[in-house]
Amino acid sequence: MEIRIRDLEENDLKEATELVVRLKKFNSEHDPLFALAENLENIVMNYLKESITLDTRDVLVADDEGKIVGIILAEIVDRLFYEPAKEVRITELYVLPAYRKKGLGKKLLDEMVKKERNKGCGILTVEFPTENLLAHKFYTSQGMRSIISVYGKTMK
Amino acid sequence: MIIILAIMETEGSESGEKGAIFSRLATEYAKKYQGKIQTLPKVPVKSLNDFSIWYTPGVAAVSLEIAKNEDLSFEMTWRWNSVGIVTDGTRVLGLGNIGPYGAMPVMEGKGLIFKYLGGVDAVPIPINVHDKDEIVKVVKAIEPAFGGINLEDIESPKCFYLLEKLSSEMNIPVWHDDQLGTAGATLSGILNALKLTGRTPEKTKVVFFGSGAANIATVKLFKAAGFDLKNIIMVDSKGVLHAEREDMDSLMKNNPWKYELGLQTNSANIKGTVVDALEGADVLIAASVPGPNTIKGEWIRKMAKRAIVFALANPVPEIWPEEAKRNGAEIVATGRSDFPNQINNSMVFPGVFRGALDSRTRKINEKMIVHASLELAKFAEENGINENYIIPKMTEWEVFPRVAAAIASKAVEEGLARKKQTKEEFYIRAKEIIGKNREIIEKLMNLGYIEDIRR
Repeated sequence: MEIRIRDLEENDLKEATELVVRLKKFNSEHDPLFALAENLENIVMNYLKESITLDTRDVLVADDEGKIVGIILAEIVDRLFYEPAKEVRITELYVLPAYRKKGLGKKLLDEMVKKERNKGCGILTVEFPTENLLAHKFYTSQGMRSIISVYGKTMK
Repeated sequence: MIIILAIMETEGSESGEKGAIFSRLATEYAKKYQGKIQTLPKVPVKSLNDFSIWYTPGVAAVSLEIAKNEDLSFEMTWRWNSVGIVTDGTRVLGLGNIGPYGAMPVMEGKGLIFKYLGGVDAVPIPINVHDKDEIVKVVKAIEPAFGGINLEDIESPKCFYLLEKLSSEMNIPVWHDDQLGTAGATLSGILNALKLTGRTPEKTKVVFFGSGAANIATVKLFKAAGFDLKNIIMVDSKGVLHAEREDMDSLMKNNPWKYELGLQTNSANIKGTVVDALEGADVLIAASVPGPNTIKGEWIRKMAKRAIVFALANPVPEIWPEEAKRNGAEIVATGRSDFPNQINNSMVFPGVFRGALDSRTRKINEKMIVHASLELAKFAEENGINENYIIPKMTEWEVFPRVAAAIASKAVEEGLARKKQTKEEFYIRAKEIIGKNREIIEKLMNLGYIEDIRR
């Protein structure tokens, strides 16, 4: 049974949305500033749908014989002041629990890097909640390090 | 239907009445006796001069010897027989987080059972520390005082972390009774129930209702005993646990033990409620919230023929045994002594610690616990098992040295024991220690030093 990594298609939207919603819910557990938007599912679905045609946003899915079991989403960001001038930023990476610890996350990440390298991106970044220690562990194991901090608070 | 209700009411009010009586007496006697255990000398003190031997200046020589070789603390002090009962009071009985002061009476009771059934000197240590890593520090700090640690009434999932961490980092056995004691007793009862209903562990379908510390530990122990996790389904307040349940990510973060079981159990990927899980199940093990209507009779009817039902909530089982039987259960066990087949930690931990201390094991691993459960089951089997007798009773004290010998000999086999003897030798030693302690207690009662309750 080979799990295939491929571009997101219109047919996948329902399942793909479910995975991203799971990730957003998990994010919300890490900080109250990640309180979930009402109507989250619709927002996610539209966001994913846009990415199919958008040049600066790419989504890959892991397809296990027709079942979507993992997803990765990346934005291409221009870096005005620095070199290299183009960055690929991973904003979502989610694998269903039963498919974890099998290298699928790494495979999704590698495929995305391959894809974006062809679009001229020179650096890879990823964003995730500071308190998500599991994400921290995964990305440092992939040779990445913390390069910028974002601090936040609710405005009174 | 009317009859059923009537019986349930009788049983319910009976249990309520009994509970009220026990509560009243316990409070009254707590005031009278002001505690349940004490320390007593075990060396002769005939004159004050004897203190020059037991205490300074003589004792300094003993201290020096032990300082040179710490293992001698097991030979020359009471450490060989002493256990610390540590709690932070965060999950005391069914009372919840009542804190370490309120936990003390329970720990004293535990100490009493330790002494009476296992001949173990157990010291209650309720601590005013709640952060998990702080608790780790405290427990590790008291290692020089004890030959073993019994964690008690600590909330889940903190208790899993503590047991894992302390077991791996300490050189004396660490036990969490709410996990391991319950799991060991449940396993031994189930093993005999399977024999009576013609089943084998590897093919038996088990539903666990309630996914707290006891059931999570029991599932893990069942795996070690040869049950196939694929045939096991766990159910909690959110329904059937499966790999795609919505809260799995949250569990991964907050309760990785339950998360792992969510991945490994339920290979049929059944979703829904306990009713869906029970369809065709052989065994139901409930350790959830007190009944009597937590589990409904009609759910039992969904189970396979010759069903086995363990309803372990206290003080009232999730379903009354009569009700479970009326709906097709062949064997029913509860946590209560007034019904047949009481599943009780007290059948396990006194013997386990007796054996752990006598073999001076560094750990009590799952294989050892399975071995103890097998021994418990075998003891009952030798006396003739039937639907109303699948596990020995508390009154059968001969079982405790048997459990002790099983644990100790397995510790030797596992390479964890510092003291290596044969199973027979361990048995004789355990029997002697437990017997002698019971005798001492009886003598103290006869002589009136332990005052009679009626006086």
